[in-house]
Amino acid sequence: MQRLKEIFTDRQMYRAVLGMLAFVTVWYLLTAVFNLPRFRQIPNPLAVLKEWVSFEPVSGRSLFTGEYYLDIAYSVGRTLIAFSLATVLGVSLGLIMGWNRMFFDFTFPIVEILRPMPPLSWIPLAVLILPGVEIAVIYVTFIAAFFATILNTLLGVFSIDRNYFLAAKCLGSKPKDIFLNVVVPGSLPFIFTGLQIAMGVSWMSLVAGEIISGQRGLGYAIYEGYSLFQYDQVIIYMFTLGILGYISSAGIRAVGRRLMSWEARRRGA
Amino acid sequence: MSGNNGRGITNRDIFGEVRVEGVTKKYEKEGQCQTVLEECSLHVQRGKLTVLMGPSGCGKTVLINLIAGYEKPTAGRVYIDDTPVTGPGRDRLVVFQETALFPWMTVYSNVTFGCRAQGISRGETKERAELILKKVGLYEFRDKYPTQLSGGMQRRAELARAMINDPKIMILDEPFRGLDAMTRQLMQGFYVGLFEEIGRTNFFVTHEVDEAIFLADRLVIMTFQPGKVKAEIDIDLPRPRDVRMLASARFMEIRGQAIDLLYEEAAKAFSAGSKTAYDLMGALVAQKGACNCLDDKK
Repeated sequence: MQRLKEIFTDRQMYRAVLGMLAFVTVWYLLTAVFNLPRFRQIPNPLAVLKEWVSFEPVSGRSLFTGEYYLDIAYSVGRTLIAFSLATVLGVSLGLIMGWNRMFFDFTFPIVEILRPMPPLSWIPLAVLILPGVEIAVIYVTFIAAFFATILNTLLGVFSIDRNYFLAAKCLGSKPKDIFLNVVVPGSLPFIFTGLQIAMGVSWMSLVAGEIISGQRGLGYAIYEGYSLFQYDQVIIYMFTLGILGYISSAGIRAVGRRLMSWEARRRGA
Repeated sequence: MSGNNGRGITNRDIFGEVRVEGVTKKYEKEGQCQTVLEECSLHVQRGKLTVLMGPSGCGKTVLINLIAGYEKPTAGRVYIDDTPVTGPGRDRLVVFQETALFPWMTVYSNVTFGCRAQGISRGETKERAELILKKVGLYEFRDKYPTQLSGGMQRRAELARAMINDPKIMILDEPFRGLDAMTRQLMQGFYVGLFEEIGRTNFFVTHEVDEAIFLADRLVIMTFQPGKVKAEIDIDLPRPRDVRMLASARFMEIRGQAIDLLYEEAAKAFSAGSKTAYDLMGALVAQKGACNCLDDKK
């Protein structure tokens, strides 16, 4: 059994590596070998890698410079603040909306109008209303994640089987107990789906926000690289974003699995 | 199964009785008024196992909801020991059709849910839980989650969750539905044993004639739309009940009687186009012998 599992994971690993190699090869062929007209200015993967690990990078940013980590720290900090706010506010609001019919009637129409607004459309108002560009960028990062969390939490509450409420009621639960023992755990699977989506849109809106009105951070550095013709830097930062996004997603999944061991077991783990 | 008629030991007065008096329940759907129950009267006797049967759509689940207090009748009253029902209460516990164990809690947490909701001390809760978990044979599984249990174990956990609160009345809405035939029969034996030991007031709804007669002290058959009581049959099979009784002459006699009554209602439901009635018809035809049925139909 253990061996079988090993072979399986090995094969999976092998395919993953093969897929990535294919991707890099195509990139290499397009840029370094065929040198197609539209790809003339795009650095090839080797050049990007060299710049990434260089001690004296042309752009002043590589794995061995403080600048690089400062940019990461700025972006991660903004995302974390925005995402945490979105989680706390979105989950609480979503739970209350799902729980209280009257509150739902009052708030749902507003949520449904505000939710589809692209985060970037908030930039002018955010800059006008909020003190400082920094907070405006965080707000833009927050807003889409916030609505994604509300909506999924709400769906989570609605997804709970009616029988669970009836059962809790006839076992003598007070509304407070039903909320804590049925509504909250029952909506967790949807909440975590929501948080995954929220994390994704956070990074997206963050980069856009940083490009337009930020100072420092990954998005800002990408735009800077573009204006200064340092395309190595653009690609390095794109990959950095990809890796950070992956890590944060995996983190949420890990926390989710922790909190929902009962769900994992259902899948036969 | 506990031996010489354990029912006599318990003081029956601590259990409740249900009186449904002239209850009518109407629903308004898309402007159309549908009468589900009409002038329905029913007596669930103290310390007895009353089984309710009827074709699908005759309002069995509605009747349960009314007794449980989840819904209110359009007219008439439901009394528990002379007190009118105004809402759900933990003197009446419902075991649902589909399992309603909380999937996010272990068996232990599920079973002790009622105790915690009522603020019973941790020590006493633990004591009661151990007793009841051993009784339903789930003590070794107390730390598992419901989805890790088999269907039969889930139903036993649910019975335990209801019984730990010592309700005056237990209401079971087709609790063994969806179990395979073997497990179902085992659960029937297990359940009837529990009942004979404790002797609580039980109100049990089912589709299965054999199950109904095997379990019941009293069998109540409902009419199809609008639902009311068509007939009540006292089941005088001796207790403790045993699977072998399924083949006894008296059992067959009662069964024939019940099937005749049910068949009329099922046929009504069938011609009214009720989807599930078709299944009941099929089952009854099989049980009664096909030729016999076709003659009756005219």
